[in-house]
Amino acid sequence: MLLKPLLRMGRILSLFSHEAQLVKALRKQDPKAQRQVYEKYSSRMLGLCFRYVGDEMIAEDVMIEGFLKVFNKIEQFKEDGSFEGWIRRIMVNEALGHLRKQKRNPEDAMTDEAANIPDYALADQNLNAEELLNLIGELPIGYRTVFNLYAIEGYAHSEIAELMGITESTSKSQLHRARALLQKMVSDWDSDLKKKVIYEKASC
Amino acid sequence: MKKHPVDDLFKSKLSNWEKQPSSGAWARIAKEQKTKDRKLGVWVWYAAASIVVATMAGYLLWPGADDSQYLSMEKVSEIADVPSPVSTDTTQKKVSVMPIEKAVESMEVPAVRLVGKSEVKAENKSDANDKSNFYAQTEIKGIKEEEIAVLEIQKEDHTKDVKAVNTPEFSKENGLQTALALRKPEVKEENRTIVVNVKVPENEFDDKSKTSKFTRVFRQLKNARAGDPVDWQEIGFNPRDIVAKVDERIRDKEEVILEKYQNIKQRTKL
Repeated sequence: MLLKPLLRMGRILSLFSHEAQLVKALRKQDPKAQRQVYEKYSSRMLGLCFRYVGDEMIAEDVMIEGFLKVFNKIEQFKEDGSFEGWIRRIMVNEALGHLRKQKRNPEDAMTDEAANIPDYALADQNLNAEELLNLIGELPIGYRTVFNLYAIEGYAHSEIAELMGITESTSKSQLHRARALLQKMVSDWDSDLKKKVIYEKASC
Repeated sequence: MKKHPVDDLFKSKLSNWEKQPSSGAWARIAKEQKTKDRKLGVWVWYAAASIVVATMAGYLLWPGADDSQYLSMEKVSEIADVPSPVSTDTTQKKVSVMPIEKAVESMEVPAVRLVGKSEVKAENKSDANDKSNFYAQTEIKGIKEEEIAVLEIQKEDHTKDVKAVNTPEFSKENGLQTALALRKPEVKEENRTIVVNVKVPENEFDDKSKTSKFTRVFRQLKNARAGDPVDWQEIGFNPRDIVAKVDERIRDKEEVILEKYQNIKQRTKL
């Protein structure tokens, strides 16, 4: 029963084995190639978007917008860089655009606060990463964004300053504060875990 | 630059962290893509339709052959002043300059007579046409009485030979009478024919120049598509002529070059 869709998926994936071929097909607006790109990168990109916006539904909206941009602006992709890197940049820009919009409309900030509530349903799937993500989600939006861009995406402070419309020194100070907060959270979490382990050991 | 331990921890765990999107996400993307395609398609169709409408309107509203014919008819009296290659026009000028008696006596009369003959022949083909009647009336208004008189004298000469030359006074009177007769709606066929012929060839020439180049070329395109012979004069050039000329020139130049080459050869031998 499960084999059939898997086989079909395999056939679609095998159509464009090389990235150059895939990009060429995307330039012709080939729907099969678009589907393949989506299948390949959607989960990773949704993870990226979620890190920035901190809400599942909004992250998906941002990801969809990002993929539409990828498909429509494929002409702007230059072969010298990696295709995934290009997609990632588009997704980051989309997420930052969403955060900027949110900043302008403070009414929506309420949903952001609500989104900071940890998603326990996913916790048992990938506990460690989930926990880290929750820690990031507890950071203020400015800190979180700078930390995401610098520590995880690997942008330089000058690039972050340009992307977010802030000065380089602001970017640096926000990163420091984010790190300090995360370090404290991690140590708290560690001590909690240790306490938990000790308690469990004692109970046994 | 050395990475901070916190950065490393988060990067290793989260840089490739994945989250499965909901099943409806791809459907939303596909839907967006489709609507964009459809929008584009609609615009393409709008563009095509507007081009078709524009060409049709252009073809229908362009001042075509039919309209220009009527326009030229209305302007006949004005056009009479414009110089034209038609032979009869020149005779008119001569006649208007000269006094009546002189014109009759002078050597130019026979020449005018000849023209009159050919005109009469031409007119017999078209007979009593309404249009020609109209031409006649308008033309007569434009010409002075004297001119008409002279033309009439010529006519009399043509039919009755020497009489008119001997008695200029008589011919003048006769001419005036006929001029009056011409103004009436019921015109004698003989009188009408003379004046009409002055205008008919000019009108034909006029029609050709008035029809736009677009309609002329379009007509010939129609001919070519239907397999009919194409009138290259209408289009303005004949490709066969041009090709033939170019060929000849090249050959001439080649020959010239060859001669020069031969000269050089001979010189070097010496």
